Amino acid sequence: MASLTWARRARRLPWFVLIPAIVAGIGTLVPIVYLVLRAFEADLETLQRLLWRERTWTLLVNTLSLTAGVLVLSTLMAVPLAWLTVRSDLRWKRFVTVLAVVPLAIPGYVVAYALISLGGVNGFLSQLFGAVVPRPSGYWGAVAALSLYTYPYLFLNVRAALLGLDPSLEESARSLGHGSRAVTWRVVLPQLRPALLAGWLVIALYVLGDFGVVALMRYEAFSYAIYLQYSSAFDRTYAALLSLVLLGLTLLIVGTEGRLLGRRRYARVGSGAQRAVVMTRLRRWAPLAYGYVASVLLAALGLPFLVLGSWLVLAPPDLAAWRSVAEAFVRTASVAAPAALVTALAAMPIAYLAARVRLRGSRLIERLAYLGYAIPPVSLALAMVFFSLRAVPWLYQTATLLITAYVISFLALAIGPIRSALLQVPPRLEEAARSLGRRPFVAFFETTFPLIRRPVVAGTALVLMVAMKELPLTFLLAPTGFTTLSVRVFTRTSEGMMAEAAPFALAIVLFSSLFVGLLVSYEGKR
Amino acid sequence: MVGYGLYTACASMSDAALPHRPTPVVELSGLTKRYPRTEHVAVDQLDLTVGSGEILCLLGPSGCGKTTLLRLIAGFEMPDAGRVRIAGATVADADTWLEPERRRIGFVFQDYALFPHLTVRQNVAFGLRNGSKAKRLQHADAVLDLVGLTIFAGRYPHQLSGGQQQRVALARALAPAPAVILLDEPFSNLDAALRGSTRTEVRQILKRTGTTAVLVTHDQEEAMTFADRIAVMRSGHLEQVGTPEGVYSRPETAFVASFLGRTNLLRGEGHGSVARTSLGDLALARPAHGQVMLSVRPEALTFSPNGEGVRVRVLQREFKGHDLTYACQLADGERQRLVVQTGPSCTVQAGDIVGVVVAGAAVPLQASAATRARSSPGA
Repeated sequence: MASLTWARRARRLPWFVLIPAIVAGIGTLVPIVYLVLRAFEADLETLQRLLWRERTWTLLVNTLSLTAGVLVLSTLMAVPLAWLTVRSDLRWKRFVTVLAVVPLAIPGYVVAYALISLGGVNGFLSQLFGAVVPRPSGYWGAVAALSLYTYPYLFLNVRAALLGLDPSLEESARSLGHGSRAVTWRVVLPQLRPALLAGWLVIALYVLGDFGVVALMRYEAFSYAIYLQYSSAFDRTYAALLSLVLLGLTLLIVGTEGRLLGRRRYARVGSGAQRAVVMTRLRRWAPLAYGYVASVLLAALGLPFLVLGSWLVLAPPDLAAWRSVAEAFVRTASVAAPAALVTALAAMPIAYLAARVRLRGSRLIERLAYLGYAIPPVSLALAMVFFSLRAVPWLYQTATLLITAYVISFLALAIGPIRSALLQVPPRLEEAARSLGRRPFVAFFETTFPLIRRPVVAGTALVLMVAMKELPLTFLLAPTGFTTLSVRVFTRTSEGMMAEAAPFALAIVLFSSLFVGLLVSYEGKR
Repeated sequence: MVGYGLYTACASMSDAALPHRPTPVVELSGLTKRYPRTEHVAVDQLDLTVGSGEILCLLGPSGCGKTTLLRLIAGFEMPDAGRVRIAGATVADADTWLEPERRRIGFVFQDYALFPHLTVRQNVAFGLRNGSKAKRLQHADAVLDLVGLTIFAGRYPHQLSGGQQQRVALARALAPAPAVILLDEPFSNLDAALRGSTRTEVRQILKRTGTTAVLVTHDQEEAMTFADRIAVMRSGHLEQVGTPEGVYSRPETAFVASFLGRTNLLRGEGHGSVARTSLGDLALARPAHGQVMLSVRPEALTFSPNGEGVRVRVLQREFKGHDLTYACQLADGERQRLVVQTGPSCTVQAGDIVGVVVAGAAVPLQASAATRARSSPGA
C-alpha cells in the first residue's frame, strides 16, 4: 500500500493552476538556457581567455565599488530619515514620510538626466546663472543618481522595523545599566539588521541591474559594458559571457543575504500588548534635523522637478513636441498594459500554488519567478535576443517578445501581494463551496477571488507603472522605431538634447507619481 | 439532481419511527489514509456504516484521525486504499474518484467558513443551483426560517454572533438537501454557556429534517448527548461503535471505558459470569475466563452505611454540587485506587476508613484494536 504518488496528487490539482504555473516557471528558465548556449558556442580556451581578460576584472571592480558607494550613501540618507520620522518629535512626520517615498516614482535615468543637465556649457546652471560647472559623470555621478532614487527602499524597510520595535526591550536594556548609546548599538541596531539587509539587497539588485544611470553617466559597470560590447562589437560571445558573470554576481548576492539573515528570531517573543513609544526630543539638534530632512528631500525630489520645470519654462516645447509625447505615451502603454495583464494572470496560479499546495515543485516555480525578477535586465534582454534568434526568429524585434520579457522580469512584483493575501484567506472557503456543488474553478472565482481582488488589482497596477518607465529591456528589445517615453528620454539625454528630453521625462514622472499616490491610497483602504 | 425535498423529507420522517435497519447512506470499507513523507497512518483500514437519518458521532482524542476520516468522506482528501460509498454510489476506491462537489454532501467547518463577502441569505443560497434566482432566495429564506435566523438574512457574517454564524453554516449545508451532512467539531468555537443550547437546537433541526449526519468531536459529553450512535476512534482505528448508553455502560476496551468518563480499572480472574477481584467476587456484564481487566464506573460503587464490603481509606473528597467524588485506596495494603461517586449529601470525609460495595456489574475489557494492530504488523 504505497502512499499517494506525486503524479496522482498532482492530477488532483486543477488544470487552471498547474498549466499556467508550469509554463510561467519554465518560461523564466528558457532565455537563460539560450544565454548559456550562446556563450558556450565558443570553445573553452577562448572562453577562458575572455574571462581572464583584464577588462573583466576592471568591470567587476567598477560594479562592486559602485554598489558599495550607493549602499553607503543611501544608508546615510535613509536611516536617519527613518529614525527621525518614527522616533523623534520632528513635526509633519506623515508629510515627510510621503515625500520621502515619492522618489520611487522617478526612474534612475530621469535623476541622472536632472543631475547631468545641471552642469556643462548648455547646462541649467549656466543658462540660469551663467555659472559653468562640470557635468556630473562617472563614478560619483552614478553613485549620486542611484542613491537618490533607491534610498526609499531602505527607508521603507528601516521605518517598518523601527515601528515594530518593542520599546520595552530598550527599557529593559536601560534597567540593566546600559546608556542610550549602548542601547542603540546593542539592542536597536541588531534588531534593524533584517530590515537593513533586505533594503540593501533590493538596492544592490537595482545597482547591478541598472542600465540608464551608468550609461548616461558613462561609467563602465557591467550592464553598460555589456551593452557597448553587444552594440559595437561583431563578436557577441564576450557580451553573452559578461551577462552570465553579472547574473552569477546577482545570484551570489541574493544567496549571501539569505545566509547573513540566518535563522535568528527577531520577532517579539512574549505576549501582551505593545506599549507606545516615547518620542526622543530633538531640542538643540532640531535645526540640524530639519536641515537634514530638507536637503535630502530637496536633492531627491526637488532637483528632478525643479530641473524639469525649468527646462519647460526656458525652452517651452511646441505643439508638435507635445504630440510626439502623446504618441510615445500611447506606444508605451500599448506594451505596458498587456504586460501588466499577462503578469497578473500568470501570477495568480503561481501564488496559489505557493500559498496553497504542498507539493514538491510548487515552491520551485515561485523561486523561478523571483529569479526572473533578479536577472539583471541587460542580461535578460540579451538572453531574449539569443533565444528569439535561435528558437523563434519570427518573434525577434516584435512587441510580443518585449512583453514576454516584461512578464518574466516583473512576475515577482505581482506574486508577492497576491500570495500574502491568499495566505489570509482560509482554504476552507473553497472547500465549503465545493461541498455545495461548485467545480474547482468556479469555487475559486466565487469565494477566494473576491477576497484577493484588491491585491490583484494593486499588483497589476504596480507592474503597469514599472513597465511604463522601464528602460533597458525596452531599449534593447523594442522593434526598430518603436520609441517609448523612456527610450526618448534616454536617447535625447545621451545626445545632450536636455530641453528636448524634458517633456518626455515629465510625462513619465507625472504618470508614475500619480500611480504611486493611487496605490498608496488604494492599499490604505483595506 | 439536488431537489428541494427538505420539507417532504421532514414530513415523512416525523411520521414514521426510525426504521429498525435503516438503509446505509455512508459506507466505508478498508479505508486507509497515510500522510506523505510520514510513517504515521491517519486512518487505518477502517470500516463503518451510517444509516439513513442517523446521527453518528466520531469521538476520539486529538490526532486520532477523526477529522481526516470526515474529510475522506467529503472528498477533500484522497484515500490510499479502501472504498467510500455515499447514498449507494461508490465515490472513491482504487478506480473511482468523485470530486467533493459531486458527492451530495454538506460540510460544516469548525470555523464555519462562511463567505465574508456574501450576506447570510446569499451564503445559504450559494449551494442552490436549480430554479430561478427568486425561487432560490425564497428557498434560502425557508431554510433560514428553519434555523430561526430569518431576521438576519440581509446581514454579513461578521455582524453575527458565534452561535448565529454556526446556524448559518448549518443552514448553508442543509439548503441543497445533501445525502449526508458532515460536521467538524462544530461547537468547539462557542463558549460553554452557548454550546449546550446550540447543540440541542442543531440536533432538533437535524432530526426534524431527517438528515443523516456525521459529527466529529473530542468532547465525550457532546457525543453522548448528540449522537444516535458513537464511534470511538483511536490512532486511526475504531475502538467501539454503539449507542451512547451501550458504549458508556458496556465499554469493550480500557481506552473506551476511560475516554467516556471516569472509571475504575481492576484486575480480576474470570470464572464465567463472575470474576474474582480485590473488591470481592463481582458479577460480569458478559462472561469472561482467566486473567481479565474490568471496568467499574464510580457510580456503581457506594459506601456501605454499616461497614460491609471492602474497607478503603478516603484520600480526597471533591464536591461538585450535583454529586461528590471520592478518591480512595484499599485499606488492606494493596495499592489499588478507587474512584467512588455518591450523592451530594454524603458525610464521609477524607481520612475516614469505610466499606465499599459494588452495586452494578463489572465490564470485562479486551485489548485495544490500535494496540492489537501495532503488535501484529501486517494485520
